[in-house]
Amino acid sequence: MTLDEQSHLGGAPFPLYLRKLDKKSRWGHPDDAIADRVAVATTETFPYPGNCFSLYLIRSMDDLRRVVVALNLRRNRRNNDIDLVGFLESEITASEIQILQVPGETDCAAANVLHVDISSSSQDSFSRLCRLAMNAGREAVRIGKTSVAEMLAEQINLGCEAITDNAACGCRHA
Amino acid sequence: MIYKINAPGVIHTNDHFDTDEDDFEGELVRFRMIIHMHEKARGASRRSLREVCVSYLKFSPQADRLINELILECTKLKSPDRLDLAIDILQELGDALYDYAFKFFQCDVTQWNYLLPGRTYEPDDDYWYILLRSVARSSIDDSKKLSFVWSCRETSHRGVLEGLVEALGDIGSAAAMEKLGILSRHEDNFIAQLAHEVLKDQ
Repeated sequence: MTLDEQSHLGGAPFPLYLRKLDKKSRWGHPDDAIADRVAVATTETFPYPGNCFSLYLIRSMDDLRRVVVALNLRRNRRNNDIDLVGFLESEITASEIQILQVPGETDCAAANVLHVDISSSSQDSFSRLCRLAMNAGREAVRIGKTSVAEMLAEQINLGCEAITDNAACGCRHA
Repeated sequence: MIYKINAPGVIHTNDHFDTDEDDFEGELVRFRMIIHMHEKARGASRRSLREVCVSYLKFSPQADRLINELILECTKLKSPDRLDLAIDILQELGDALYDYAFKFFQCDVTQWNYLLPGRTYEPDDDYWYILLRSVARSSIDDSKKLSFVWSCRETSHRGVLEGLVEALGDIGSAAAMEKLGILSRHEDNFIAQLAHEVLKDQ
């Protein structure tokens, strides 16, 4: 699955709530048994006993670019590939999971305002969420280092404050 | 009897515990604390704590045990950055990392199922993912890196193969691309698709 420039990610349209995966296999493959996929994705993506998880609300390719670049600025290289999975708001609410507006903690203020925590006291809610997304054909998306490098170049071009210490960064007012 | 067997070549019993071991326990506690501070930190302080971790690993006489500790500690974290945290530190170690990874491979591979099909041993996917990508992104000579990561190709474990595919992409040489081409025809469609994506990304 490559990055689709037509406002879709992993088979779903924006707006999407994106969760970073530590590696792509956490989300499994459509060939795998759905029960196994849901079990692994739930355990590894929303690990118990945590009940509050970090996501970003992405409404556009601009939002996606800001978040991907901001997440990569924590690394020792800035153009690392990144794996993401997206959820629709309707899937989150149908799973009885709360969405809480909580600022993010990256170096990019524009990315931070897109940040939310999702919360539920029941691990079953996160299983339901994964199952709903998988049944809808959602796939994890790997944004490769070439795409990340392009996004980074564009953010530098815009004078991104997280990269260039530019207090007049255009993203802040977007 | 206390056994510690995770770090390659390091098998201790409490018969050998002495003052040095007590000192090491203290070092271990400090090192774990830095790992957790590093996970929470952002911006310049994250970079600086990463450098502290790297220095620990470069200069500690017990570096192998600390490398093992770093990997185990990071894989236990709840954050989606957990594997990246370890990779970003370990890749700075160069030859010391290679020596560790090679010893770990020698210990671990003997238990893999393709050698002993009746056994149910499962390699630690996350541990391997970190090791393979760290080696691939390090300053070690390309042919040496390639030879190491490719030696894991016989496993049937998706998690290890995923690390191998990503590591080949990290190496990025023509020879690594050739190997990715082979994996893009793998019988596990997840691995085949990932190899295809990584190839396209070069």
